[in-house]
Amino acid sequence: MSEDRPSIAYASPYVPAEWIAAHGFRPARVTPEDTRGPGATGACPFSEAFVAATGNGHRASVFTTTCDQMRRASEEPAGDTFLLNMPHTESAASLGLYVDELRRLGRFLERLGGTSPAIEEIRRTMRAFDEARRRLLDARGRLSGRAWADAVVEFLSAGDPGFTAPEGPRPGRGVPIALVGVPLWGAHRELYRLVEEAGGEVVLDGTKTGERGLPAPYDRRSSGDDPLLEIAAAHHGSMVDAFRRPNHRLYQWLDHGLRRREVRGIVFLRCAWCDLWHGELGRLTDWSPVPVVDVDLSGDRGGLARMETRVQALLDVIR
Amino acid sequence: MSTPKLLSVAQWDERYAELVAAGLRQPAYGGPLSRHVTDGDTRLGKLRFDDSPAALRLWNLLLTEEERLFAAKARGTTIVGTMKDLGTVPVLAYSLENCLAFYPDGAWWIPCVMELSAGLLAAADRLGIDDSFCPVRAMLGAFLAEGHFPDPDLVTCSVGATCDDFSAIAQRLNGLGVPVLWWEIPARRSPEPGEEAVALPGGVVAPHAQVRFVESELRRVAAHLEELHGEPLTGERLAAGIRAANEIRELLRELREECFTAAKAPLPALELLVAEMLAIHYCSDRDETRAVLVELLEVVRGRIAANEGVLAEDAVRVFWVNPVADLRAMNVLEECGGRVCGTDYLFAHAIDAIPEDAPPFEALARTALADPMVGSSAERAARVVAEARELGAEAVIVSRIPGASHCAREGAAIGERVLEELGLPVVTIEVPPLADSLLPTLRTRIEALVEAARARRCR
Repeated sequence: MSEDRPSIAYASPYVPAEWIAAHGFRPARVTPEDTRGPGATGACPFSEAFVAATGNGHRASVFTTTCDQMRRASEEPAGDTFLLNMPHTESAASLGLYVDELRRLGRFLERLGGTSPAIEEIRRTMRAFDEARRRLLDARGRLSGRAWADAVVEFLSAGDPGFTAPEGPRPGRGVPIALVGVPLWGAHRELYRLVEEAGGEVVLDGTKTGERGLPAPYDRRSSGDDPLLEIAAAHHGSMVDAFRRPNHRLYQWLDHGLRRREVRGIVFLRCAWCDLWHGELGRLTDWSPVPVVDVDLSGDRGGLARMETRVQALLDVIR
Repeated sequence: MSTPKLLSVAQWDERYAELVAAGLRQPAYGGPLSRHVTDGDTRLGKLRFDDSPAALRLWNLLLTEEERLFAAKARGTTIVGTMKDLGTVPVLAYSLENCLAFYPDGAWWIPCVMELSAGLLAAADRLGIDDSFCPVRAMLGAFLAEGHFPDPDLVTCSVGATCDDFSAIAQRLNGLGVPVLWWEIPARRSPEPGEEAVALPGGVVAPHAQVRFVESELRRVAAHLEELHGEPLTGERLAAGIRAANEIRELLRELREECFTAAKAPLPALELLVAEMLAIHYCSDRDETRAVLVELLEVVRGRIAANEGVLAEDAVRVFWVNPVADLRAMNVLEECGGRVCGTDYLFAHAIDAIPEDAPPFEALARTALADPMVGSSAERAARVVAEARELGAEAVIVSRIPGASHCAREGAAIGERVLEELGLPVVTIEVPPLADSLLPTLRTRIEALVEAARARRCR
């Protein structure tokens, strides 16, 4: 995909990149570098960092209603923004809401100068992104947790379905660790290095910038008249997240992943002022069969020392 | 008619004795305010109350809700615990015979009223829901404590365009094994070019597609109610329920109009706050709520006619945004020389009339979608500005709710717009469930606001 295409910034894994791409834009999933720390008291630092990043030459930005913080942050950017109403419940009606919202997003992209894609163009784009995600998932086993996480971010930020994951570095033999929670951005992405240096290896990346944020693969045999329904179904069905009501599927996903990857410890990640994930800490701690350590991301580099201490403490307990 | 006064609980005991001796007629839940203090509502000992029998009835209605709920449960009344939507699902519930709704959210005042003695916040802390969350976290403790309300037969909760902390708290409750019927309310948006639009109560507009979606969600809730209750919730019944709800809303609008526009404040801000809260779920007794509001309105009109008020005529007119976790704050405003001349306590959609010229389920959906918290901060700010202008506000107080996800940005949006369009002094305060240690700071800030407003009068 040409980097010359104007880009559309987004942060949520439930904004289908292929839908944006099919309309002629480059889908740019933003993992902000900004780690200035929270501004207004009570404002989520990730939402503030994303708002700041929307001004970096993107044609427009897409926010979602997965949380109140992002919903209200959508009023701040000066440029064109789109607020995608995200279904919080899981039903045929909520899927219908999501489909309607994606159609509405399509109309927004057309008003920005995008194309009105033909069915075959949509299918071609779906296949391209689906194959790119499959290649990424296939690379999971041969890459270290850090390398794989970086590959995911690189793929999503470039919005290029031609992306191919690197061959290495290979996974270490550290203690298998899971990450669960909010996206890791800016200096917080040092967490992967900190885990490795403490003797661990991230084998299950349940952050929004990890595998939990990837949609289910498409059925390659499908040839229906409305490919948007397939895009919606794949993403809707993959909304394994704290914001869903109820959110038991998050725990089902975790249970499966913890057992399959023989995870021995969880690093739970939440942003300062993120109530949705913070609300899960007590439940996760009660539920988890393995030790859990809580790391709150305040958006400042000063938090790295705190993060390092917590990770080391977790590994000490496990070993 | 004697000049109305603000009384302490002890002074109210004397007044009560006088009223009883003079033949005061009370409902079954009546009695002296001090009995609630004895029962544990110790915060009342630090508040000042209006001295009218109508105010006594209001407080007794509020403070006996727990008893009423348990009695209703014992009689076999279907009890619906409705969370978050602030005024919508109760209209459905009260449309059925022998069915009522209450807000577990209302537990957020228990830590204040009982001065933390009930241990609800500590219970929430133990579940990992600490003071970085909104004080409504007390609801968690209230569910677990099993004494503040009976186990509801059905618990509903609106999600989607709702605040994160409430959603997280409700999910925590669900995770503890309390079944919750979740229903979805999308963020209200403006219609697109060419999209069919619908006017909603309160002056906002939404796409008809969103109204249809919310209607389908409310019908889903209604279907659960029908199955639980064993009676159909027909359009006719809901229409009757809407008419009854609108009677209450009309009374409340009249009460607010009289109080906000009178030369002298005829009712204190505290009683007005409690009266507004009745609109959400009628304090589990719709008939009594109507009676209380009628009586309050009579008192207010009588005082206005007699040119009497509870505050000095030159009290600074303040528009108040957001409810307070500590009721004491409303007394403080008046002690500092202010008076409430307009309010937005997060549920304007529970005070506006529900349309009666539309099919009832659609009408209720329009009302739900008109919720100011479901729309943008900009739209909420616009309504605050419009009402503050209309009511002649001289200052605005934005009361942040500690930990509430919407307050981080919304308060700034409202304050900026007030400054830009009205040029009024604005202050943002934060009121925790017990504000005693912060009272000097709160007073200073409110006094400064009042002084700034007075100075503007001289210009």
